[in-house]
Amino acid sequence: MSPEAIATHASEEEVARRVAAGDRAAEVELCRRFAPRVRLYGLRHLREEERARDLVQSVLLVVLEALRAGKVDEPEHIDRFVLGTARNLSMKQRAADDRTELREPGDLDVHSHLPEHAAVDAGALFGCIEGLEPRARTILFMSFYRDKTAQEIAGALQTTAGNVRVLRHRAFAQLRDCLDGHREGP
Amino acid sequence: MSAPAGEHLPLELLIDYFADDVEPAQLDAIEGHLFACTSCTAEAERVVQVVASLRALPPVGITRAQIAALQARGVRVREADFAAEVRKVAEFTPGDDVLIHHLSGLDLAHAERVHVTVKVESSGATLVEDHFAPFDRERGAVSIACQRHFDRFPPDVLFEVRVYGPGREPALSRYLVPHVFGR
Repeated sequence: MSPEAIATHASEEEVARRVAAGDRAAEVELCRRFAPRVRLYGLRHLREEERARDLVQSVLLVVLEALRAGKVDEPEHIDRFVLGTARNLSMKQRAADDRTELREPGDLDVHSHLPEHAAVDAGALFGCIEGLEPRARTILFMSFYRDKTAQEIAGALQTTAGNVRVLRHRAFAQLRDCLDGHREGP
Repeated sequence: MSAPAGEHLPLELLIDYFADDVEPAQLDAIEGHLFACTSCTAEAERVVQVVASLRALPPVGITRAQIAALQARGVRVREADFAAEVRKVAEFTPGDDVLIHHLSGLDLAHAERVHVTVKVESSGATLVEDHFAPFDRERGAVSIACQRHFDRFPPDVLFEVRVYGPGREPALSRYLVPHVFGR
């Protein structure tokens, strides 16, 4: 089976089994599929793009080495194995609070499998934020910049956590749609 | 809120996930789903782009360390002190990327929380609020980062600073700072 056929048709279990059998094209395919997922996990837990990308590299190396060495007992659950590895390595990274856990990258080119970090035009962002109600701006700001919980925000705004979540969902969707409009513009 | 078995994660749940506002049991379920679902990964990527954009903004209330970090990145920063109830113009010159307004003379010795409201003086409209603004207890100041993109807003800016401490009503200080954006 060619690498193209792997990309189109193979299940993740099949890809994992092929990696275990020494198929280099399957390794590339496995990285292509899981690199974006690990990056999102890294952004959620490590907060920074660079640290998230470092995590991708570390996780995929561990996963590939485990598959090559026949140490993955359930290739049909390779997604769970990758998630577990991401959890372990991100916990270590947070505990160390630096990047000393980085593994040697070898010839693994994970960056080609990750989306480019799309910088949003600051002017467009301000324009979209300006279009939000002041209370909605405040909730987004406190949620994603000050990292306050819905409960903490509710206390400051004298409302309920449930209401904060509803307003946050609406404001976020409005902001996202506005930014999408700017990207699609001339 | 959770995703029914076999269905995709709703946008609202992804927003709560990246706002770090889900229960531990939900967290496991969301991440398990994300690692197995290409479609939800793509949707989560869109959420992350917006979150990253918000986090990349220089904050309204800013700390000394954040000012130093901006300068280290090559951002051209100019700082000035402002006193309560004294009208003082803040002028953006072509050489400025960010102006830092130090709203000074505050009694922050026992402050637990500082709430900054940025308003339009003439209309009273609220532009933005920071209910948890960082503050410099020793200097008795709150620092505000003013960016060139703020020229979208009316220039007659009023900062209201409320200092919350134990067992007392918040103390209010007003800073009148008309802005001029030079090109």
